[in-house]
Amino acid sequence: MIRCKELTKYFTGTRALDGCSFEISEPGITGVIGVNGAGKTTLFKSIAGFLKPTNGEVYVLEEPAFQNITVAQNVILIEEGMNFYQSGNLQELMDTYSRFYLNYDMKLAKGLLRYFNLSGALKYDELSKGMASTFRLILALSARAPITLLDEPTSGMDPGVRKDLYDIILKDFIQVPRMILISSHYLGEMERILENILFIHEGKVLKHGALEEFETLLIAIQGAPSLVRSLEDQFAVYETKDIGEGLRRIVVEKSEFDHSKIAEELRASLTIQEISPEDSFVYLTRRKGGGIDELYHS
Amino acid sequence: MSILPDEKEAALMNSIIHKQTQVAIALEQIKDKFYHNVNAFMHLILLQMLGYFFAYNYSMSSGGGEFFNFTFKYMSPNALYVMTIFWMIIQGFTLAHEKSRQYYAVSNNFTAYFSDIALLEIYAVIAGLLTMFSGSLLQVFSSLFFDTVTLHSSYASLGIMNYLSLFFTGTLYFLIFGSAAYLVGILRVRFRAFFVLGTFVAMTLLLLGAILGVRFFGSAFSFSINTLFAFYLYETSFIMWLIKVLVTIAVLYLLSYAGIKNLEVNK
Repeated sequence: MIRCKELTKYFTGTRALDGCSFEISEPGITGVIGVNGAGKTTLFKSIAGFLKPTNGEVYVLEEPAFQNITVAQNVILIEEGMNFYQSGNLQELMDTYSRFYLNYDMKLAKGLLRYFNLSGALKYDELSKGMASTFRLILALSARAPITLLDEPTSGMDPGVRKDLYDIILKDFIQVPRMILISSHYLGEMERILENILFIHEGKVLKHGALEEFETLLIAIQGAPSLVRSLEDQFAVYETKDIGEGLRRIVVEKSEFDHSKIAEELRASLTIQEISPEDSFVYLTRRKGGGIDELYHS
Repeated sequence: MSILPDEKEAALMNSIIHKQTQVAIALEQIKDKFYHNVNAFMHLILLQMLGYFFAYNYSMSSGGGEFFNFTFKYMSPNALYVMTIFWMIIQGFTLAHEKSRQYYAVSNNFTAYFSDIALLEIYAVIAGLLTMFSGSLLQVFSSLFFDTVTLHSSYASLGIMNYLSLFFTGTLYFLIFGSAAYLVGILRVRFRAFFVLGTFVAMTLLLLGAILGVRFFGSAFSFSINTLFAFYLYETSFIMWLIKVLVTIAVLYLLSYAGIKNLEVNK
């Protein structure tokens, strides 16, 4: 249903997407994770048909996405920079959306407005950042579009409201299964509702798979410093750290470690811990060429 | 996370996919834009009322509070036309500028263009109607303040065909200005950073062309804005005039569409 093949997008002097290839063919909630500037918003805008790929292809519902009216009426993208008519209040905006999105559930929209204490008489421009995010999410969920793209949907919200919203997204998905893609640079708080993760970094898809695959992506190996140092040349190391006296810790890819030819006795003398998906993303996207400690101690 | 089997999920999702035509979406957009831009008509009425002030050529005198004399020497509709044209230009620019609003609900470049053009035509028709009735409105206004309003004999002789002609020509002229403004607005949205530079280059080229024209062809070389207006205003054949106006509007529409085609929504 969503298929990107070698999708590349250049803006003046910037390569926002660099040969992204992935396919989502089943309903589900997918987290699109990446740091700021990774290309998440550009990817969403390409899927929604707003941007024309510089190279490669984006197919949505088996049709090229760019400026395609079938794609437009079956995809809803919400993001912070959305424009609404200034003259319209929230109720009028919902009425408009209900005329364009034929699955629009007005009862749900009104219920969510009440739940979040938002009055339909308010104007969008009068809302605080968090309230505006909540309203956009209400629009997106009520539209019940087959493909729902939520770009940083909880931006500016209180932690309590954020948790509530993720619960609502999950409940809504269970009621009407569809493709929901949520972009964020935090994985932790939404991890519990995700089935799949699309991890992008510097415009490239680093990994796309089920959440479980990310739970065993990286491991920390801890042991005697001499022993651990002997391993450092054999693997791509994401972090090295001396922990007190007589202990050194490194972070490596689990698959690389599992397939290596390390003697069983050596393995037995090491302590191996799984790294959480959230921490794995931190390691994988960490800037190369010196950490913050080096900056302060130079 | 779902409690449903995969096949049932997929079937449910397929059942909510819609395929409406571009025309159906564009018609919905026209209604929506009309609703959200309804204030534009209030602006038109205000501008036209301002136009009435400039339209009157009058004199006033009073005799020690005993009597008050107010005489319209004549009324010219030119100021009303100018105000209405100004309003159409603003609407053309506004609609073109709103291209960044394609985020808004369901849209693509074609439906956005189609609904913009339709709205411009509705604007032109309403502007034409209001301008056509401006004479009657003037009479009503005057009746509010004066006991006797005498109409000039030529005014009384206006027939239905005169009114229709006023409406028809007014509407088409307004549409030309609205479409031209829309085209300029689209070019501005399309080229953004280069728009100011492009305008400067175009003005320089025009100026250079004029200087070189005079240098090589002598003082006989001249082109003024009046020449451009005369092309339409002094056309004596109705059919020729209609062709000129319709071709102009069509060219402006086509250029606008060329400008909007493949335009990305990247704001």
